[in-house]
Amino acid sequence: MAIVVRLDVMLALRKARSRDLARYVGITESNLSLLKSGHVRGVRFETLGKICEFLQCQPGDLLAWVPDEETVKNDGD
Amino acid sequence: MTRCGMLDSSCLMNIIYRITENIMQSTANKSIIRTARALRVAAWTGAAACVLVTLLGVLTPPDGSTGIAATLSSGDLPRAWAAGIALVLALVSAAALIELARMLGRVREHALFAPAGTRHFRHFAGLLALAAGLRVALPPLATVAVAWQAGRHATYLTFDGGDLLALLLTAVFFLVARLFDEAARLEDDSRSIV
Repeated sequence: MAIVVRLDVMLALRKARSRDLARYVGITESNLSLLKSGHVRGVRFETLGKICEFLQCQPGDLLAWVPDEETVKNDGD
Repeated sequence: MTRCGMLDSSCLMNIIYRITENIMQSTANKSIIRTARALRVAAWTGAAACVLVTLLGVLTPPDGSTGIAATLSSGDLPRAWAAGIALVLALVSAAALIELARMLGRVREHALFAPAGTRHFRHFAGLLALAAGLRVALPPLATVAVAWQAGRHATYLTFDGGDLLALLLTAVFFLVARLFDEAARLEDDSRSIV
């Protein structure tokens, strides 16, 4: 997947607990866990906004685009 | 600076909003599930009644000597032919109703549009279309066959407008099945978006 979720990194940097974040955002811990592992198809702006508000960060701190093998190969050609 | 462990008013409002949204959604879903269960019972009852009444009409003598009200109207066809057609129609209609009941049985609180339920609905629409098609086609075909056996070269064919309307209705059911597929996809999308 080209988009990588770096929520766990931000949580560690802010020394915040997943449980607190889940409670603040209003989602279940299992959904937050799925989000952290990147096993979701999308994130609502509302959820993203709440996470940024809680962690005092920008969306770009949570999400990163990593070129996959196919993109790297195409760029190389 | 983080707000870890703190619950300010915005956070509380957000939690209350989410809980209210979930309760409202859950109440709506429960109402749908209750209706689906009631309709499921009705569909099973309808399927059983369809076969039983037809069997009663076929097996009881046409003179009404047994006192049972189910009668088989054969029109111009021999009784055996009419009984055969009625049984086929009853079985196909009952199978359609059973598929509908199975589809209604798949309705769950967190999966109103389960793929298996949609599949059963498509089977229901298909069997209903088959029943409607047979209802339109079988009697005239049987009439032609009887006339041909009797050596007649001309016969009267009659079509009921209601049966043709039923065919149109089944086409609508196929469209509803397509809509169910789309709803299932959207439900799946919605579940995997946090």
